[in-house]
Amino acid sequence: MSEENVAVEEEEEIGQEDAWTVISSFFEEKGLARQQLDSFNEFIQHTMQEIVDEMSDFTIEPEEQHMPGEEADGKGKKKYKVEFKQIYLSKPMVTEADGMTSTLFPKEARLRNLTYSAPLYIDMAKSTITTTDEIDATTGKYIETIDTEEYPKVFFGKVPIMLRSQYCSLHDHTDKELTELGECPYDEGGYFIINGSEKVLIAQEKMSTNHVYVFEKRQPSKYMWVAECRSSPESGARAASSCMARLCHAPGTKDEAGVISVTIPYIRTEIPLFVVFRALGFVADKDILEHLVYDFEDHEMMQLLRNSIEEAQVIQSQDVALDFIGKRGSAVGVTRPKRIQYAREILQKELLPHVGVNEGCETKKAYFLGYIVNRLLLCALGRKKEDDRDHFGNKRMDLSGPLIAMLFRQLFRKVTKDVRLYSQRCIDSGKDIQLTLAVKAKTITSGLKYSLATGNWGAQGAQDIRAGVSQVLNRLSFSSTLSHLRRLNSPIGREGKLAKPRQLHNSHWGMVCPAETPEGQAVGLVKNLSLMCLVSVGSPSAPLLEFLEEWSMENLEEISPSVIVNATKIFVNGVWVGVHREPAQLVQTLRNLRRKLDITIEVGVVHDIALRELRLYTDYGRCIRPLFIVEDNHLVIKKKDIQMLYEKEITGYTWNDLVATGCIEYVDTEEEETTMIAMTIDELVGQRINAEPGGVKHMYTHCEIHPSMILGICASIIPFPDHNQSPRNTYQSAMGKQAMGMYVTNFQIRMDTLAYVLFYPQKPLVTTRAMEHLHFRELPAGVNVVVGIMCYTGYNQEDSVIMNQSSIDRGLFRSIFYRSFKDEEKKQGSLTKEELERPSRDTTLGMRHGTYDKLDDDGLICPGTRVSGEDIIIGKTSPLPEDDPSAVSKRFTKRDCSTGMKNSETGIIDQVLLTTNDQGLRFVKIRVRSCRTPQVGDKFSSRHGQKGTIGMTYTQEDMPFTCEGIVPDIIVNPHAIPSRMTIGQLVECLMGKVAAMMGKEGDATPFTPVTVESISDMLHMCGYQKRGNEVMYNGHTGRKLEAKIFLGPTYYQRLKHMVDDKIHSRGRGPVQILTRQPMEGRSRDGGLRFGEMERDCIISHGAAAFLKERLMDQSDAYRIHVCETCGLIAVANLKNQTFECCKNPSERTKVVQVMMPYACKLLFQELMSMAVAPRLVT
Amino acid sequence: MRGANSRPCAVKLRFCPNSNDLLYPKEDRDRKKLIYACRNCEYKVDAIDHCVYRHSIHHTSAETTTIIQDVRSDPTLPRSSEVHCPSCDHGEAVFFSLTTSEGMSLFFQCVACAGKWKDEGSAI
Repeated sequence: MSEENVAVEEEEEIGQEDAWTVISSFFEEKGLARQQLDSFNEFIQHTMQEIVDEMSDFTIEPEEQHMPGEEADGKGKKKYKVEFKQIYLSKPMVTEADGMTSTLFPKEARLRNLTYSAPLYIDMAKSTITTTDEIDATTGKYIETIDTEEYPKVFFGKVPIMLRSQYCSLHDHTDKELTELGECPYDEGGYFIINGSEKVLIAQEKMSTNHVYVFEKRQPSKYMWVAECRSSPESGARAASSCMARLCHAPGTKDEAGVISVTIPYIRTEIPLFVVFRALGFVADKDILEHLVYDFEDHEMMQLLRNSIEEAQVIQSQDVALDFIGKRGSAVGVTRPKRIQYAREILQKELLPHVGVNEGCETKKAYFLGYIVNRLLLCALGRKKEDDRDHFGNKRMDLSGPLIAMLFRQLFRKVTKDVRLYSQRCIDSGKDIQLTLAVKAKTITSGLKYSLATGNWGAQGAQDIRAGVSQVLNRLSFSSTLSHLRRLNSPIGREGKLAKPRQLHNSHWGMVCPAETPEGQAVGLVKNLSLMCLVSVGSPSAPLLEFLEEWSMENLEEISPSVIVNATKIFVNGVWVGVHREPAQLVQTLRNLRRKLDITIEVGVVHDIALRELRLYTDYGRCIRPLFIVEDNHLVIKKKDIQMLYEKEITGYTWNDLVATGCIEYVDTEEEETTMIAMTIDELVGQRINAEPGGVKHMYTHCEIHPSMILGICASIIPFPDHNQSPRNTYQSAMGKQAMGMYVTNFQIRMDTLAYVLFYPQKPLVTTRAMEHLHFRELPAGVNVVVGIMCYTGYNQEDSVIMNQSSIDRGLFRSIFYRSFKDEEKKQGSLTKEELERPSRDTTLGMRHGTYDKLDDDGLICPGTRVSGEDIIIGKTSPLPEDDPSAVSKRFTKRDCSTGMKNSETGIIDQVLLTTNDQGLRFVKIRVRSCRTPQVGDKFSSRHGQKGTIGMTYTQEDMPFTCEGIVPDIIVNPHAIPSRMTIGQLVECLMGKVAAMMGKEGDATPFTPVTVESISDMLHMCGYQKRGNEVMYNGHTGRKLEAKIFLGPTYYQRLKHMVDDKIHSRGRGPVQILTRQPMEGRSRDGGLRFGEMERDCIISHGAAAFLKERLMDQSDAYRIHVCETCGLIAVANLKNQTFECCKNPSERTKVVQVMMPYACKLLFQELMSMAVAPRLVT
Repeated sequence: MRGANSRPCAVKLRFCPNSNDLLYPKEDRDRKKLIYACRNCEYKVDAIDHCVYRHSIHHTSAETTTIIQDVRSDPTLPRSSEVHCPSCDHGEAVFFSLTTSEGMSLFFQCVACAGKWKDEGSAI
C-alpha cells in the first residue's frame, strides 16, 4: 500500500470527538425514557390485540330444558357464538359528569386529579347457529344456518396512556406547542397520570425462562447436581412450568453419581430418567442414549448413565412407563387406560410447554429433555462450570408493557367470563343477548386504575400480588425524575442475607450503572439503567425460523441423532429447533441480515463455540446497548457518516440511519460474551499499527461508543468520578436526588404536594459530556460557589461548613418551598353533599382552634395571605343528619371538615385553584409558598458524596480573603478529604478555577485523557499557583495565614433537609388515647423517645429515681386503688371517700392507693377481661 | 485394555443389534468365558476385553473435551504471531489457557490448518 493510500484511509477513521456526535444523535432520537415508551407502544400496538385474539370467541348453548312430552333431538337447536375482534384505541379523553367528552391533556389531568386514559373500543359479533330439519346429503348431518349480527366498536374500558407514547396527546408536538400546552419541553414522559398523580412503573427483574441452568448442590442435599428449566411458551399466556433433572448421590457414598431423576409438573414424585423417555416413546436403551450422549465414543459420560439404565430395566414399554407416571399423578383410583391417557396429556401439555403443546412434539421434547440431562452430565463430569444465577444475560426485565399486558390479560379474561355468564343467563331464560349490555367496561377501567394507583400488581384479591410496582414519580430534581424512570427492581426479599444477587456483576457493564444504587436494605437489588441501555420489546420468532429453514438448518425431527456430535445446535428463544453444520457461516449471515434490518435489530445472536450452540433470542426484556461495528479492526462508521450527521438539516441523517447502514448495532448481554469489544477507538488504531511480529493480537468485532456511557443518570452528573473512591460516587448518586434546583420548567402551573425550587440555579463550571443529554445545564440543581478547604475558627468540624453570610444575603442558595393542599366536596349518599364555605361557630360542630378569619365567604383563602400554625385555609362543612343524636343541641346543623396548615409551617398562599373533578364535584387545590434562606443547620453537599451542614455563618469581613480580595462562600474542613479519598472534588475545584479564568466550561467526563498535570499547567498560565493554593489573610485579624489555602469554585448542591422542617421540642403535650403515653413525631407535637438503649445507659449508672421519672412520671403515671384482701382494683369514690371491694359486708375492706404506668393498668384490665386475675399483693 | 480409543477412563457400553438394548456382562459357565447378553432377547456375544467395571477415583477431564472444538473463529481469544505451527509452520495461532494436571498450560490452534498443540510444541 502506498503512503498516500494510508493517509486517505486514516483520514476516514473517526475520532473520539466524532463519537460524541454519534452519542448526541442517539439521545436526540431516543431520549432517556425510551425503554418505557417502546415497551408501552409495543403493548398498545401489538400485545393488546394479541391478548384479545388469544381468547377471541366462545360458543354457548341453552341448557337442556326438560319439556314433558317432547323428545330431545338435534333439530331446531340453537347455538350462539360470541366473537371479540378488532380493538380500537382513541386519544386520551375525559368524560365530564354531564356526559360531555373532550380531548384530555396531561396538564389538565394533573391539576384536576383526573386519570390520563384513552377509551378502548372493540368490534364484537354474535352468531346464531340454528340446526335445521334438513339433512345434508354429503355429510349426513343437519344443515346449520348461521346468522351473524355485528356490534361495531363497543366501549370496552379505558386504558391509562403513558405520556409521550404514541397515543399520548403530546406525541409529535414541538417544544413550542408543548410549552403552550403547559408542559415542560424537557420532560421525557414515560409515566402515567392516575387520579392526578404521576406514576412510574418500575421495571421488574426476573430470571429468564426456557433456559437450562445447572447448579451444584452442597452436602446435606440428596443430589449432586440439578439441571433446571422453567418453561413458558412464547405467548406468555400461562405461568412457567418447571422441569428438573437431578443427579442423585449413589446410595451410601459421598461423591459418587447415582441415578438421574426428573420432576414433571403435577406428578408427585420424581420419575427415573429412562422411564420418562420410554413414556415419550423411546424404548430401547440405545435410542434413549442417543438423545442424551451425542458422542457414543464418550464412554465416561455413558458410564455415568449406567445406573439410570439399570434403574429403569423393569419398565420396558411405553404403556408401562406411562402407567408408572400416571400412578404418581393427582388422579387416584382410576382405571389403567385413564391413567395412561392422563400421563400422556401431562407429558404433552405440561412437560416443557415451550417446546410444544400439540400432539407429535414427543421427538422434540425428548431431544430437549436429553439436552437438559446432557448439560447436567457435562457439569457432573467437570467439563463445564456451574451456571451463574446472577449473570445479567440470564435476566429479563418486565417493563410497563409486559406488566400492563399481564394485568390486561387477567382483566380481559374476567370480562369474557362475565359476558359468557350473562349470555348464558339470557338464553336460558329465553331472551336475546344484548352484547352491549353484557360488556362491563368498568372491569378494565377500574382494574387497571387500581393497580396503577396502589402499586399492587395483579387483580384485586389475587394471591400473587406484588407491591410497589407502581410508584409516585419523584419530582425533587430533574435528574431524580429521569433516574426514577430508569429504575430496576429485583423482587427478592430484602431480608435475604445472600450477598451474591446484590453484587455488581461483570455482565452489568454498560447495562446497569455501577455507582447508582441505594444504601441499606435494598443495596444492589434496586438498580438503574446505564445511559445507552435499551430493553428489547420482543418480536415473533416465526420470521427467524423461516430464515433458518432457508439457510439450510436441519430440523430436529428430520435428523438422526448421530449427526449432532459434529453439528451446532440451534436454539430459538430456548427451544432447540435444529442443527447446522456450518455455524460460522450461518452466524455471519444472520448478523448481516440483522445489520441490514432484514430481521429485527434487537434479535440476539449468541454463538457459543465451546458448547457448539447457536442461541437466538427474540424475546422481550433483554437489556441491549449500541456498539460500533468493527470489521477487520476498522470501524465501519466513517468520517462521512459523521459529516452527514452534522448536516442533518440537509441530509436528514439520524441515528437510525447509522443503525440501518450497519455502522452500529445493538448487542445484548449474552451476545456481548461472544464479542471482542475495543474500549476506545485508539485501541483499534493501536492494534492495526503495532501489528509487529511477536505481539498478542486481538480480532475486535465491536468498539465501545464511549466508556463513560456505563454510568447512569445520577452518576453522569459527577465530575471526574474516575478519581473518586467508588462508594463516594454511590453516595452522590443518592444525594443528587435530594438536591434542589428546577425540577421542571412548568413548576409555576403545577400543584405538587411538595416542591423545592432553588432561586438562582447555575449550570456547573465543570461539566460532563453526558450532562448535555440530561439537560442538566437547562435545569440545574446547584450553584458554583468559591470553596476554601481550611480550618477556620473551628466552626466547620465534623462535616459542618462555614458559609458566607454576605453571600446568603445576596441570595446564595435561597430557595422556595411549595406545599399544596387539596379538598373536594364529597357526596354523602345521594342527596347530601359537603359544602365549601366559611363555617360559623353558631351552626357548626367540632370547629378547631385555628383562625377561620382568613377565609373568604366561599371558604377559600385569598392568594397573598400570610398563613401560619393551625390557620384554616380551606373551609368545608358536611351537613349533620337532622335526627342525629350526637348533635349536642339543635343549633348545630353542620360538622366542620376544614383543612388547616401543618402546625409547624408558615407561608404565603401562592395560588388557589377551584375546579371540578370527574364526578362534577367542586374541587380545590391550594398552594402555599415559603422562602427559605440558608441558616445554621441546613444541609449542603458537593458532587462527590461530601455532605455537610452549616455550622456557622460569617459576614464577608470575617471571612478569610486572598490578595485579589476573593472571599470563599463556603469553607470546608480539610479533614473531610483524606479518609474519603474524593480526589475528584479537588480536581473539580482546580478545573473550576481554570474554567472561571478562561471563561469556558471544563470537561470532567470520566475515561478521557485529561490529566491533573494538564489542568495545573493551564492554571499556571492563568497566573495562579499550579495546584490551586493561595495565600490568604485572616478576616478577623488581617494576619496572613500560615498555610496556603486550596481555593476555587466548586459546584455545591442545597439538599432538601433543612432545620426549619426538623426543629422540635416539647414540655407537655398531647398523649395517645389508648396508653396515655406521649404522642410520637414532630407533626403531632410529640415527645422524644427515651428508648431501650437510653434505658440501659441509665440502669448502668444506677440512677433508679431518674429512670422512674423518665419512664413513668414523665410518661403515663396513673393512680389506682387496690383492695388489700383480694389484690384486685377496688371501686373508689374519692368525692365521698368510699372504697368498695370484696362484697362481704362483715369485713371492712382495706384499700390502698398504688401508682403505676397507665399501660400497666391497661394490661391488668385486659387480663381481667380474659378471666385472668392479676392480684397485687400490697 | 487401552484400545485404539484415546480415552481410557471408562468402559465402553455395548448394545444388542436386535433390540438396541444394553448388553450386560454374564458368565458362560459351560465355556468358562465372559459373555455379554441382552436381557430382553436371546442375543449373546463373547466379550472382547475383560474389563467389566472401572472405577477411577480421580480424573482430570477438562482438557480432553473442551479443546476438541474448532476455536479459530472465536473472536474473544487472543492471537499470537510468536509461534509456529508444528504441522504447517504457519506463523499465527489462537491460544487460551486451561488448568491441567501440570498446572496451567497454554493451548494453541493454528489459524491456517487448525492443528492444535500444547505449550512447548507437544501435539494433542
